[in-house]
Amino acid sequence: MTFLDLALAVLGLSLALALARVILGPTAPDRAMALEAAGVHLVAIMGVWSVRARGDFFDAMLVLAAVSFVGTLALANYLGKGWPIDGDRR
Amino acid sequence: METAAELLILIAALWMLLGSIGLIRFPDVYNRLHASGIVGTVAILLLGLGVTWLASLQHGVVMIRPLAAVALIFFISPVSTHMIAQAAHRSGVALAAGSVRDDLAEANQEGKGRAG
Repeated sequence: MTFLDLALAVLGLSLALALARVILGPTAPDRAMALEAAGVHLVAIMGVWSVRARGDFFDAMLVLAAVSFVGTLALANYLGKGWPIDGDRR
Repeated sequence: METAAELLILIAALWMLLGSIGLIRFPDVYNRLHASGIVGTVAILLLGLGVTWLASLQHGVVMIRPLAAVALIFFISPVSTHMIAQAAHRSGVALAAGSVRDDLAEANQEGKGRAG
């Protein structure tokens, strides 16, 4: 039971809380936000696991971070009825 | 040295748990986005520093890739937080019961579609 095992347990509990918000969330932006937080948790778990197993999953961390942002961008584009970055466009 | 890096990772994991508890307990989308911002910036940066340190000690070379992945999330996460907040406000999600004022709605009333 090292610190890394304990950190993995804490991260799993935290991911479970974020997924509970995905299930509970009353509105759709709640679910989008919780899914983005769950993606960050997955990247964190991947990093801790790769140092615990003395492996190398860092490329997967990079790819998952980029793809998670694209998913959030698409969800915000759909939910806000317009391109979410340009503030003037309705 | 490895114990110090593992302790850094554990502190970051506890910080991320703090953000998730806020994600459960806050009453509103706009309040919950604060907790989500903690998960995406502070916790992941601390964890990435610990992972980079530990992986560099394990492999004997300086590892850049975990730091690059975490820096990507660190710069992207505030952008996606703003995007979700703006999408929620545009799609008409109501504020929590104890909220005092809504500056963005007032600005939309005055400027007629200038500020998003």
